[in-house]
Amino acid sequence: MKKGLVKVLVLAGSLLLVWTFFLAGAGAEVREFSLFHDNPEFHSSWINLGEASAEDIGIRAVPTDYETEIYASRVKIDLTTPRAPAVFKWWFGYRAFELWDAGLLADLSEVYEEVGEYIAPGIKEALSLDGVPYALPFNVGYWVWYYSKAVYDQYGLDLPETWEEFEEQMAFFKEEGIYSIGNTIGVSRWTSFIVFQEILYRLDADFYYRLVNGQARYTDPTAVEAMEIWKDWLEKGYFAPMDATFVEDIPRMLNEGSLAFAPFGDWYGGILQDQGLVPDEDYGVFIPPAINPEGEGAIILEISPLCVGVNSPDKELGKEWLKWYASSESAAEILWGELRFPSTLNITVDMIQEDDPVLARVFELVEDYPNAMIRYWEATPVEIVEHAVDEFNSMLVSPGRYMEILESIENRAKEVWPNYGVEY
Amino acid sequence: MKSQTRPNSAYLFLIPALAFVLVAELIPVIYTTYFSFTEWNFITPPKWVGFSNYLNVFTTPVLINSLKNTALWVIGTLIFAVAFPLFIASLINLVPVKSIFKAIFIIPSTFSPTVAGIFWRRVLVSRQGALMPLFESMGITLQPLLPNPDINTYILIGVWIWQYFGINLLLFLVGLDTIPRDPIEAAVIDGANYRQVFTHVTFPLLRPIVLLVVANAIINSIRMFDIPWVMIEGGPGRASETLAISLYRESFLLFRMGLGSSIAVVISIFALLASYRYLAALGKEKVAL
Repeated sequence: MKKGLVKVLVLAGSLLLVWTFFLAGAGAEVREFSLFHDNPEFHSSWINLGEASAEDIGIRAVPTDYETEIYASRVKIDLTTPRAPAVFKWWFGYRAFELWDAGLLADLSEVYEEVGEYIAPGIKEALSLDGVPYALPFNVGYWVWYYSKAVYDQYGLDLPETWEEFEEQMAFFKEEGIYSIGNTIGVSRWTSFIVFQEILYRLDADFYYRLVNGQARYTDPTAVEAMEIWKDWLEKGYFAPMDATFVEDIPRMLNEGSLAFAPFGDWYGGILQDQGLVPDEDYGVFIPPAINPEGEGAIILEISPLCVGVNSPDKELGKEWLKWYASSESAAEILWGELRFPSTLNITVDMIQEDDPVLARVFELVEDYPNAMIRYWEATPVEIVEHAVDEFNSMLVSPGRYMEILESIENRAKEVWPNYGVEY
Repeated sequence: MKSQTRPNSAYLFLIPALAFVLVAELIPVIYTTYFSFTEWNFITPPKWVGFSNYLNVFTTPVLINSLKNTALWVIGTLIFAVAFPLFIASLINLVPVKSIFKAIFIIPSTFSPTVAGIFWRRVLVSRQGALMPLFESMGITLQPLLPNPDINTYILIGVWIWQYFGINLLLFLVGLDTIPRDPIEAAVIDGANYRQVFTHVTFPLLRPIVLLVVANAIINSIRMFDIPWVMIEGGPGRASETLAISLYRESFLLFRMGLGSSIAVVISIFALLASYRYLAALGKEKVAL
């Protein structure tokens, strides 16, 4: 009898223990959802964001990273299925439009209603289609030209204030054996559109806008003129060796003073700092002057949006997480402290000024450029861009083919625009 | 005498293998073939377009260039990674210490093509690379080699040969080791010189190995992706693209899954033809034996 009682007590005690553990576990349950991105270099920060949200609100974003090359197709395939990521990084402009048009993006109006005050003015509108916001910003960046302090200090030069001075300086650098422009093939095909974009909108911002929206042609005189300027620079040898990579070689060349300029979005500062360059000591930024009066006041804007897959079973979790992402200080600490992304208004001007004076300078500079236009990569349909970047890559080594290249892109544009309801 | 019949239960044992083939091979093949007759961008439903994708494979200039490059890969591989190793193997076979050569030549084959591509990219790049400073120290300034569309396919094929040469050499050496000495010695006694012995005795006896190596070389070079992708992404532009890179680019970068699928089917047909030739020839060998 006594033995039996002991058995019962042991059994009851064990059950109680198991139940206690179960309850404790249930209390600490963290709900998880999948987050896709194409920045392996930022992956640890994505993990940190996921852990911070798990601690703050009991929702963990579990990030999966892909190389950019494969990312778009992977996400597109999954978005049409229940495997769709709850949250994923994407591009805005036409790249978002095709997903929106197919009904694959969730409406984030309720997110903006709750936490819209933490997002900079104008961003919601930029990330809306048909008046419906479809994303929150992961990064908002402007396209500037990074310059080597070593080069400018060595020759005691001032930054160019007119297009003529800009070209004179490049001619001077050539004489001194310094490469002017860090835009190469490397191992990243996408960067090949940059110089075309940078020249074109400085010639005529309205033409750039019309071209990327199917209202102008690649064979029009302004596009031809942009290509001729680019060709001239290539033939004069202003460009860094075409096998230099923008992540490793270009920063090194800027640092050692063998390269003067690198045109990129202001996210490039993070890459330069990763490579050991110090803002304002080793590099600075400027915006080259317009070529024509029609190019004045224009600047290129790039927003990396975070979207919610409408077919994801975890889309509500994703929306909750985005509310935390936009409003929490712990998210802001990671976004700014690790990535230097001023994604939300929790990142203050003082923080930017103190930690990254070059990025602060970008924000000062762009105040004089009210005409923000979308980067070429997402400003025009993806089918045209992807074809164009391959053609622009061949421009970098065969500048004499520039008309052939424009005609090839024009032919692709003729095929594609009607699919977007544009008479071309 | 009672004839031996195969028990029905034997078919049960085939089910796992058949299921694997069905799931892992047959279904993807059927899907890919279906998509090759459609236009599909992953988002909107596939649209039937008949044979137009196949027509594009053989009429679009960039894809004709890919076909041409792939042909160069096949020819380059057959000459320098099959014929040349066979020649070298026949010479090494004459020396007593073959193991040293085997060890030396096999080392590059132990790398994956991706690793070989990354390694040679680091050697060839103009900045921080090993080759350019060497030339510069001799007063020679070379332009970057990999972005040069006139020569980069040949450089890429060279990297492939460097990587692939050793394994074929090893296969030929193993094949030469297995050849019986008697017919060779008989030929030598009959007064045959080295060339005659090789062409009339050694080579015919080595034929099964040669067929295997040739078929492998053709299949591997037809589907070549890793080295040109890792080293220059099939560029500049699409200059050094192979069919496998065109498949990838059209499908996953340009979102023309239909065209990409038709390239996949074309690659498969080419590879099947190469295999068929090998298997048919091997069958004949067996019959002859």
